[in-house]
Amino acid sequence: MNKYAKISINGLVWNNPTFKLMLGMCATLALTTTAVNGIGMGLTVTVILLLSNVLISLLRKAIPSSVRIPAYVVIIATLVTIVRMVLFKYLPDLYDAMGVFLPLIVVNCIILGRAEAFASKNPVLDSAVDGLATGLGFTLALTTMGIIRELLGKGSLFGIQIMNFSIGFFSSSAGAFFVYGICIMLFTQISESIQLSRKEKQGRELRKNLLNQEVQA
Amino acid sequence: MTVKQFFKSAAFKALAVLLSITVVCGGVLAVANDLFYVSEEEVNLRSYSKLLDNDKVVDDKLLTEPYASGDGVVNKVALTEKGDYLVQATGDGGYKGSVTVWVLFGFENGKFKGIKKVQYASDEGETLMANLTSAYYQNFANHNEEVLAGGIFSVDSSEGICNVVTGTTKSSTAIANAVNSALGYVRAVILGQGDNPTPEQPKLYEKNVKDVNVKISGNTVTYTLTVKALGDPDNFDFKIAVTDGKIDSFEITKNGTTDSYLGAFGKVDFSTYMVGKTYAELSALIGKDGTEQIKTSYVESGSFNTLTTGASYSCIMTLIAGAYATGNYEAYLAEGSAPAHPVYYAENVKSATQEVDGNTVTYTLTVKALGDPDNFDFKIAVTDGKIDSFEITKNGTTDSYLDAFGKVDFSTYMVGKTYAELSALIGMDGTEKIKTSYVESGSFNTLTTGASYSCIMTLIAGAYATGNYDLYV
Repeated sequence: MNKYAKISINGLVWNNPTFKLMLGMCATLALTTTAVNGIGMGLTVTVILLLSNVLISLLRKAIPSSVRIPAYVVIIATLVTIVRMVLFKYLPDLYDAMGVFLPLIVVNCIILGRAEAFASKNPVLDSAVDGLATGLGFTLALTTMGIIRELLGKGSLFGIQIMNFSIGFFSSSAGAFFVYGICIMLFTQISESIQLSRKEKQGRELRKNLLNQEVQA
Repeated sequence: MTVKQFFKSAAFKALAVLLSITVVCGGVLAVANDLFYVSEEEVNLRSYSKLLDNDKVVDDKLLTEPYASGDGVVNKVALTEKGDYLVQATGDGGYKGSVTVWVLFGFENGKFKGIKKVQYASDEGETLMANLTSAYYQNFANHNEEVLAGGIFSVDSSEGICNVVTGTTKSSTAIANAVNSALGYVRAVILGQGDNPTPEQPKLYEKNVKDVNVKISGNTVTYTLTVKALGDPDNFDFKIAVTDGKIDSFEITKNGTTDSYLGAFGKVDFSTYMVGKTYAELSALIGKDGTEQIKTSYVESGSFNTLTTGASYSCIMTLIAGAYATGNYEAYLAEGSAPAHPVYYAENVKSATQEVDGNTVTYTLTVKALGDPDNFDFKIAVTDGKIDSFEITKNGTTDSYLDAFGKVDFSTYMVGKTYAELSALIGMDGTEKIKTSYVESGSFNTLTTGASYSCIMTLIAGAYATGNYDLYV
């Protein structure tokens, strides 16, 4: 597996910001009442994450370590403000749907976390791939939760009513925590089984190689 | 540390880098702000396009200053090409602030048909707006029978047409208040019905009263209102009729007295006691709003000697209801009989915009087709009630009658004409039917052109401009 594929898989799955690292929970819980809101928030964060990672990686040698956090915050806040302006101009419905959580992206742990943990230590292309993959991982997580909550809480999917049955609980904050917990449980279960099977496969191959070496000896 | 050492130090470098990043980011934001600026007009146009199907706004400056109505305020009123009215109103009583919505009111040939659409515009501090689905907003348009009968919206079915989302009651309250404000404006100003008019200053006892609904019939004003809780009792609801400044009938529709004082409060039969009372008598008992504090205890004021019941708060709240009804009587009555907007020939005019410059009003208007001709467009300037200049900017006469219509030079004929002269020719709107044929009416002898419909439409334009002059100047 090449370097970029590994970074991508890490961002999307093994270091998924929502289900694994549990970062950016505020927006996750508040904006997953519908699938469209989840996608909207996820893609907005993806764009900001990609741009902030690229910029911070570009400036990583110029920014002294002592002022790196305020410098990152200024860069991220500028990007968030520009994205807000663009959304208000061209996607006003999405802007309205995200409400107060749009400016709050400035303090989203995922963006500052990736800036500090990855972009400040890696070259531009690697950082861009990491930003994109982490953002898409966040988008996938929010969309999954949005689909579950919208379907059960409103009986609709992407705004289209598909059943008359709904449980209001899933649209509430308590429902958000409940769905989030279930998603984390399933994600952990599935990812651990995959890792376990990968380890078993590696072990089998290792034993097979050792046996071959013994036979040859 | 010397100055030279400071400029070479890591601290200076850190500050310089941070400052540079901040300055560059500031510059980028300034450019972005210019590039992505969205004007208020553009925001309004977005709302219009979402709300209006195959229709467009022809005049969105019908309201020059905010109009307070009930627990809300009307911010903007626009007239559409189809004759519908689009009202933007802000309602109080939300979770942390207010909610602003657009309400589209349907009109057919000048007749009010009810609410067509309600759409969210903005809010202050609400956090659960996402719970309010399109079905909730659509529900406002599903009760037009009750709206036409004078109903208002509430989150409580006992107080009005119920429209609420459980768990988002406060935001629902603010939206209901906004819709009610918009309804109040339409009823009082556009329809001129006198329902829920908002009198100009002073509105007496406003702080103590909420959810006021008013109906005016002749010189009788009937109030349905709630007096807010004072002390221990809960809110009280009342229905009060006032004629010639005196209470005609007085009914407590919801008694908020605490159970232990019900007996004491029941000692006075208010439905009898209040009849015949005037504002002077009631304000003498509880204090005149605006000049004195409302007396909140009969023990302190000593004014209730004739009315001691032992349930002073309930008693004061009941008196406030009566004082509100009598004290605001003149103001409501005056507002109720105020002219609607616009008054004359509204049914014949499809769209109109006005520009006021000193005492000159310049109209750009379209008169709807009558008979065979197409719509006519005009530009008319009126000064001191007389036509200054008159221009037909689009002549809708059918081709075969163009010569006949051309016999009269209207741009000369109309100059100097007043509303009285023009309405005498075509019939005064509101009191007579518009005359649609000069042969029947015999009024056009001096103006016979052989293109009667075109002629009448042209006269209507002049009559509209002069008749409504006082409204706009």
